[in-house]
Amino acid sequence: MSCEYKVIAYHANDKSRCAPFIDKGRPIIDSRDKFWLGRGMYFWDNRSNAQYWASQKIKKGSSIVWLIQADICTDYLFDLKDKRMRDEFEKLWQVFSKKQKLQKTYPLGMKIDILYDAYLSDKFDVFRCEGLYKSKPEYFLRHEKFPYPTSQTKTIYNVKKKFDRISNRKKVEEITQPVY
Amino acid sequence: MEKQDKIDIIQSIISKFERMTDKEHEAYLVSRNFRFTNYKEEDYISNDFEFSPIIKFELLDLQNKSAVFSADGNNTYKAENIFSYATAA
Repeated sequence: MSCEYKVIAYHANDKSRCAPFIDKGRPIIDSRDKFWLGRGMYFWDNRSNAQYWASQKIKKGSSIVWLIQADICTDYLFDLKDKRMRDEFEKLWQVFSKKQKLQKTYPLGMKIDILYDAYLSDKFDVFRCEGLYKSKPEYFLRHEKFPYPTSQTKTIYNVKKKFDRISNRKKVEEITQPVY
Repeated sequence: MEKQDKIDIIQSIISKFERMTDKEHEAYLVSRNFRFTNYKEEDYISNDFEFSPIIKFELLDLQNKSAVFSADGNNTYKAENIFSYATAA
Protein backbone atom coordinates (compact mmCIF):
# COMPACT_ATOMS: atom_id res chain seq x y z
CA MET A 1 0.00 0.00 0.00
CA SER A 2 1.53 3.32 -0.99
CA CYS A 3 1.19 6.24 1.37
CA GLU A 4 2.17 9.85 0.82
CA TYR A 5 1.35 11.34 4.23
CA LYS A 6 1.90 9.67 7.60
CA VAL A 7 1.66 10.68 11.24
CA ILE A 8 3.24 9.03 14.24
CA ALA A 9 0.49 8.08 16.68
CA TYR A 10 0.16 6.26 19.99
CA HIS A 11 -2.21 3.74 21.52
CA ALA A 12 -2.40 2.56 25.14
CA ASN A 13 -4.05 -0.68 26.12
CA ASP A 14 -3.74 -3.90 28.11
CA LYS A 15 -0.60 -5.87 27.32
CA SER A 16 -2.68 -8.91 26.34
CA ARG A 17 -4.35 -6.90 23.58
CA CYS A 18 -1.32 -4.94 22.44
CA ALA A 19 0.94 -7.94 21.85
CA PRO A 20 -1.27 -9.49 19.09
CA PHE A 21 -1.59 -6.06 17.50
CA ILE A 22 2.17 -5.61 17.33
CA ASP A 23 2.93 -9.19 16.29
CA LYS A 24 0.07 -9.89 13.90
CA GLY A 25 -1.55 -6.51 13.22
CA ARG A 26 -4.78 -7.59 14.93
CA PRO A 27 -6.58 -4.28 15.57
CA ILE A 28 -7.69 -3.29 19.05
CA ILE A 29 -11.28 -2.20 18.73
CA ASP A 30 -12.69 -1.41 22.13
CA SER A 31 -16.18 -0.36 21.34
CA ARG A 32 -18.57 1.63 19.31
CA ASP A 33 -17.94 4.91 21.03
CA LYS A 34 -21.02 7.07 21.08
CA PHE A 35 -19.62 10.52 21.74
CA TRP A 36 -16.30 10.28 19.95
CA LEU A 37 -15.52 8.82 16.54
CA GLY A 38 -17.52 5.59 16.59
CA ARG A 39 -16.22 2.12 15.86
CA GLY A 40 -12.53 1.61 15.07
CA MET A 41 -9.08 1.67 16.62
CA TYR A 42 -8.22 4.87 18.48
CA PHE A 43 -4.87 6.65 18.63
CA TRP A 44 -3.46 9.71 20.36
CA ASP A 45 -1.24 12.19 18.56
CA ASN A 46 1.50 12.23 21.19
CA ARG A 47 3.04 10.00 23.80
CA SER A 48 1.97 12.08 26.80
CA ASN A 49 -1.67 11.74 25.86
CA ALA A 50 -1.23 7.98 25.53
CA GLN A 51 0.42 7.95 28.97
CA TYR A 52 -2.58 9.83 30.31
CA TRP A 53 -4.91 7.19 28.87
CA ALA A 54 -2.70 4.37 30.19
CA SER A 55 -2.89 5.97 33.63
CA GLN A 56 -6.68 6.06 33.43
CA LYS A 57 -6.71 2.37 32.56
CA ILE A 58 -4.41 1.52 35.48
CA LYS A 59 -6.67 3.47 37.83
CA LYS A 60 -9.62 1.49 36.50
CA GLY A 61 -7.99 -1.87 37.20
CA SER A 62 -5.60 -2.76 34.39
CA SER A 63 -2.33 -4.15 35.76
CA ILE A 64 0.00 -3.82 32.76
CA VAL A 65 -0.60 -1.32 29.99
CA TRP A 66 1.57 -1.03 26.92
CA LEU A 67 2.14 2.10 24.93
CA ILE A 68 2.33 1.42 21.22
CA GLN A 69 3.74 3.71 18.59
CA ALA A 70 2.69 3.35 14.96
CA ASP A 71 2.54 5.24 11.69
CA ILE A 72 -0.92 6.04 10.41
CA CYS A 73 -1.42 6.84 6.77
CA THR A 74 -3.46 10.02 6.53
CA ASP A 75 -3.85 10.16 2.75
CA TYR A 76 -7.52 9.36 3.26
CA LEU A 77 -8.09 11.32 6.46
CA PHE A 78 -11.49 12.79 7.20
CA ASP A 79 -10.45 15.71 9.36
CA LEU A 80 -13.14 17.00 11.69
CA LYS A 81 -10.69 19.65 12.90
CA ASP A 82 -11.19 21.32 9.52
CA LYS A 83 -14.30 23.50 9.45
CA ARG A 84 -14.95 22.89 5.77
CA MET A 85 -14.89 19.16 6.31
CA ARG A 86 -17.17 19.48 9.32
CA ASP A 87 -19.58 21.52 7.19
CA GLU A 88 -19.56 18.92 4.42
CA PHE A 89 -19.98 16.14 6.98
CA GLU A 90 -23.09 17.85 8.30
CA LYS A 91 -24.47 18.38 4.78
CA LEU A 92 -23.96 14.69 4.04
CA TRP A 93 -25.76 13.80 7.26
CA GLN A 94 -28.66 16.03 6.22
CA VAL A 95 -28.88 14.14 2.92
CA PHE A 96 -28.95 10.82 4.77
CA SER A 97 -31.48 12.08 7.33
CA LYS A 98 -33.77 13.34 4.62
CA LYS A 99 -33.60 10.12 2.61
CA GLN A 100 -34.21 8.02 5.72
CA LYS A 101 -36.79 10.48 7.12
CA LEU A 102 -35.04 10.60 10.47
CA GLN A 103 -36.63 12.68 13.21
CA LYS A 104 -34.25 12.46 16.14
CA THR A 105 -30.66 13.59 16.59
CA TYR A 106 -27.82 11.11 16.81
CA PRO A 107 -24.49 11.32 18.65
CA LEU A 108 -21.37 11.95 16.58
CA GLY A 109 -19.99 8.41 16.86
CA MET A 110 -23.15 6.92 15.38
CA LYS A 111 -23.31 9.52 12.62
CA ILE A 112 -19.73 8.79 11.60
CA ASP A 113 -20.29 5.02 11.53
CA ILE A 114 -23.49 5.40 9.52
CA LEU A 115 -22.05 7.81 6.95
CA TYR A 116 -18.82 5.83 6.71
CA ASP A 117 -20.65 2.58 5.99
CA ALA A 118 -23.22 4.18 3.70
CA TYR A 119 -21.07 6.53 1.63
CA LEU A 120 -17.51 7.17 2.74
CA SER A 121 -15.66 3.89 3.21
CA ASP A 122 -14.42 3.83 -0.39
CA LYS A 123 -12.77 7.24 0.01
CA PHE A 124 -11.82 7.70 3.68
CA ASP A 125 -10.19 5.42 6.23
CA VAL A 126 -9.20 7.58 9.17
CA PHE A 127 -11.13 10.17 11.17
CA ARG A 128 -9.59 12.87 13.33
CA CYS A 129 -11.02 15.26 15.89
CA GLU A 130 -9.92 17.47 18.76
CA GLY A 131 -11.14 16.59 22.26
CA LEU A 132 -11.60 19.20 24.96
CA TYR A 133 -10.53 18.12 28.45
CA LYS A 134 -11.79 20.88 30.69
CA SER A 135 -10.74 19.09 33.84
CA LYS A 136 -7.07 19.24 32.80
CA PRO A 137 -5.04 22.19 34.07
CA GLU A 138 -4.43 25.08 31.68
CA TYR A 139 -0.72 25.54 31.14
CA PHE A 140 -1.03 28.83 29.29
CA LEU A 141 -2.41 32.21 30.22
CA ARG A 142 -6.17 32.45 29.79
CA HIS A 143 -7.78 35.40 28.10
CA GLU A 144 -11.41 36.17 28.59
CA LYS A 145 -11.83 38.07 25.34
CA PHE A 146 -9.17 36.72 23.00
CA PRO A 147 -8.08 33.35 21.66
CA TYR A 148 -5.15 31.85 23.51
CA PRO A 149 -2.93 28.74 23.35
CA THR A 150 -4.39 25.90 25.34
CA SER A 151 -3.18 22.65 26.86
CA GLN A 152 -6.70 21.35 27.36
CA THR A 153 -7.23 19.72 23.98
CA LYS A 154 -6.06 16.37 22.69
CA THR A 155 -6.04 15.20 19.08
CA ILE A 156 -7.63 11.81 18.52
CA TYR A 157 -7.43 9.52 15.49
CA ASN A 158 -9.74 6.66 14.66
CA VAL A 159 -8.76 4.09 12.03
CA LYS A 160 -12.00 2.59 10.80
CA LYS A 161 -11.57 -0.69 8.93
CA LYS A 162 -8.56 -0.65 6.66
CA PHE A 163 -5.91 -1.53 9.19
CA ASP A 164 -3.16 -1.83 6.61
CA ARG A 165 -3.11 1.97 6.95
CA ILE A 166 -1.24 1.34 10.22
CA SER A 167 2.44 0.46 9.89
CA ASN A 168 5.68 0.34 11.93
CA ARG A 169 3.92 -0.93 15.04
CA LYS A 170 6.13 -1.13 18.11
CA LYS A 171 5.95 -1.10 21.89
CA VAL A 172 7.57 1.98 23.39
CA GLU A 173 6.71 1.69 27.08
CA GLU A 174 5.16 -0.56 29.70
CA ILE A 175 3.15 1.18 32.40
CA THR A 176 2.16 -0.42 35.70
CA GLN A 177 1.63 2.72 37.80
CA PRO A 178 -0.32 5.86 36.87
CA VAL A 179 1.92 8.49 35.29
CA TYR A 180 -0.68 11.23 35.58
CA MET B 1 -4.88 13.41 -1.24
CA GLU B 2 -4.96 17.15 -0.62
CA LYS B 3 -7.70 18.70 1.51
CA GLN B 4 -9.31 20.45 -1.44
CA ASP B 5 -9.55 17.12 -3.23
CA LYS B 6 -11.25 15.69 -0.17
CA ILE B 7 -13.77 18.52 -0.09
CA ASP B 8 -14.44 17.92 -3.79
CA ILE B 9 -14.96 14.23 -3.12
CA ILE B 10 -17.44 14.85 -0.32
CA GLN B 11 -19.29 17.46 -2.35
CA SER B 12 -19.58 15.07 -5.28
CA ILE B 13 -20.90 12.36 -2.93
CA ILE B 14 -23.45 14.83 -1.56
CA SER B 15 -24.69 15.97 -4.95
CA LYS B 16 -24.84 12.38 -6.24
CA PHE B 17 -27.10 11.24 -3.41
CA GLU B 18 -29.14 14.42 -3.29
CA ARG B 19 -30.15 13.79 -6.89
CA MET B 20 -31.22 10.20 -6.21
CA THR B 21 -34.84 9.38 -5.60
CA ASP B 22 -35.60 7.70 -2.28
CA LYS B 23 -36.08 4.44 -4.13
CA GLU B 24 -32.73 4.70 -5.91
CA HIS B 25 -31.06 5.61 -2.63
CA GLU B 26 -32.58 2.60 -0.92
CA ALA B 27 -31.39 0.33 -3.74
CA TYR B 28 -27.91 1.81 -3.40
CA LEU B 29 -27.81 1.10 0.35
CA VAL B 30 -29.00 -2.47 -0.23
CA SER B 31 -26.22 -2.94 -2.79
CA ARG B 32 -23.74 -1.99 -0.05
CA ASN B 33 -25.35 -4.36 2.46
CA PHE B 34 -26.17 -1.30 4.53
CA ARG B 35 -29.06 -1.61 6.96
CA PHE B 36 -29.88 1.39 9.07
CA THR B 37 -31.60 -0.87 11.63
CA ASN B 38 -28.15 -2.30 12.45
CA TYR B 39 -27.26 0.99 14.16
CA LYS B 40 -28.79 1.08 17.61
CA GLU B 41 -27.90 3.63 20.21
CA GLU B 42 -27.90 0.96 22.92
CA ASP B 43 -25.05 -0.83 21.10
CA TYR B 44 -22.90 2.24 21.62
CA ILE B 45 -21.11 3.15 24.81
CA SER B 46 -19.50 6.19 26.33
CA ASN B 47 -15.87 5.27 26.81
CA ASP B 48 -14.99 8.35 28.77
CA PHE B 49 -13.08 7.84 31.97
CA GLU B 50 -13.55 11.48 32.84
CA PHE B 51 -17.31 11.23 32.90
CA SER B 52 -17.86 12.79 36.31
CA PRO B 53 -16.15 16.19 35.94
CA ILE B 54 -18.22 17.15 32.91
CA ILE B 55 -21.57 16.38 34.52
CA LYS B 56 -23.78 19.40 34.34
CA PHE B 57 -26.16 19.80 37.21
CA GLU B 58 -29.57 20.89 36.01
CA LEU B 59 -31.38 21.09 39.30
CA LEU B 60 -30.01 20.93 42.78
CA ASP B 61 -32.62 20.21 45.42
CA LEU B 62 -30.91 20.98 48.69
CA GLN B 63 -33.97 20.36 50.81
CA ASN B 64 -34.36 16.79 49.57
CA LYS B 65 -30.61 16.32 49.14
CA SER B 66 -31.06 15.28 45.53
CA ALA B 67 -29.84 16.51 42.18
CA VAL B 68 -30.92 16.13 38.60
CA PHE B 69 -27.98 16.14 36.27
CA SER B 70 -27.16 15.73 32.63
CA ALA B 71 -23.99 14.21 31.27
CA ASP B 72 -24.66 14.42 27.57
CA GLY B 73 -27.11 17.27 27.20
CA ASN B 74 -29.93 14.91 26.24
CA ASN B 75 -30.63 12.51 29.07
CA THR B 76 -31.09 13.53 32.67
CA TYR B 77 -30.46 11.42 35.73
CA LYS B 78 -31.43 11.86 39.35
CA ALA B 79 -29.01 11.31 42.21
CA GLU B 80 -30.44 10.81 45.69
CA ASN B 81 -28.79 11.64 48.98
CA ILE B 82 -25.98 13.58 47.35
CA PHE B 83 -24.46 14.76 50.62
CA SER B 84 -23.72 11.17 51.60
CA TYR B 85 -21.79 10.75 48.35
CA ALA B 86 -19.91 13.96 48.97
CA THR B 87 -18.99 12.89 52.49
CA ALA B 88 -17.91 9.43 51.33
CA ALA B 89 -15.78 10.95 48.57
